[in-house]
Amino acid sequence: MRPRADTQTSEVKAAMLDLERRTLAAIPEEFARLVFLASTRDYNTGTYYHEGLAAQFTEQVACRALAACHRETFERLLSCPLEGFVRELEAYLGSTGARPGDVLEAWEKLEPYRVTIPVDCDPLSGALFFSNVRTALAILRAGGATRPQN
Amino acid sequence: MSELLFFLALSLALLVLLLLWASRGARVAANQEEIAGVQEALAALQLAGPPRTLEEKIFAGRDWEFVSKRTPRPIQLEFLNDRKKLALSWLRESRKKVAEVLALHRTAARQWSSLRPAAELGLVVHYLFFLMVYAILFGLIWLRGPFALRRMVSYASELAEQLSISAALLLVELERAYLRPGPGEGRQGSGNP
Repeated sequence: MRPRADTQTSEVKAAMLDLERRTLAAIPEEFARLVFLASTRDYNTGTYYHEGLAAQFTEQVACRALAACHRETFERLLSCPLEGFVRELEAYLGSTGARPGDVLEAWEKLEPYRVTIPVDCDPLSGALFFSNVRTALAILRAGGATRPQN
Repeated sequence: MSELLFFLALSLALLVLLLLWASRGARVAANQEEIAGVQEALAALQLAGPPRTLEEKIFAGRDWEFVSKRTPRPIQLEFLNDRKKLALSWLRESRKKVAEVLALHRTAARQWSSLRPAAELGLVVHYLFFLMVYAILFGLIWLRGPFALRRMVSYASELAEQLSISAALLLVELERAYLRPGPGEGRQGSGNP
């Protein structure tokens, strides 16, 4: 008989694939994916919920799949060179539809990016991510990073 | 004056010999499977050091190259300050994990009477060498920032990993000696915890 843990793992993998194909494929920017995945998490309990995914699999499997995708997206962004990170953030801020100056100001003051990291992320990774976002915001406020400085 | 120089040179030579001996003595014979098992156990006990990918990211010069060439001075200073803090945090975390593994080793090893004194002493000297390397690295990061020290950081990281694995493997060896059946008995009595 197949062990239950294995079955669950393969179910989670199937749910991740489903999430990737149906939902995340429509979100091209890595940063936007991170914000979306973080928004599927309950702020009070830290559990993830996605109605469509839970209906197709189970709530528990959907929660684990969302958490795994969130972690993967976060790790990809964290390993991205700063130059690419700035581009990702710029693309995300541009995709919100709001005035870029307003979004930049809100992000600098309210620091909403602090709730976008996975719950089980280690403190050092979190600190590196926050530092990268702060630097990227400062670069974007200064007018981007296209011109070499003397 | 010449006598002082002679004693200094002699002390230095002795220190180098001691460190060489320590790095050999602390090593425990083990195959890749055992090492992988110990690494897994350390990770499960949350005793593994910070991930190597994080180290590569914090100390990589590529980001600094980008910031120094493409951004104004105030952003550069803030970025440098941030990365210096992160690098020092990484060092502290890495050192803390090794200290935790050694504390676990010490607590467990006290229970066994079949210790190998040379291996234990080797481990202590290895740890002292590790602390010295970390203290130097700490000072250098404080003075020069994290970006010029990639190779030394990598060395320190390997040293930390080797030390944790050696300490854990020594415990595995002690346990194995305890479980090994002696002649005419189920377990060796002398090494009972």
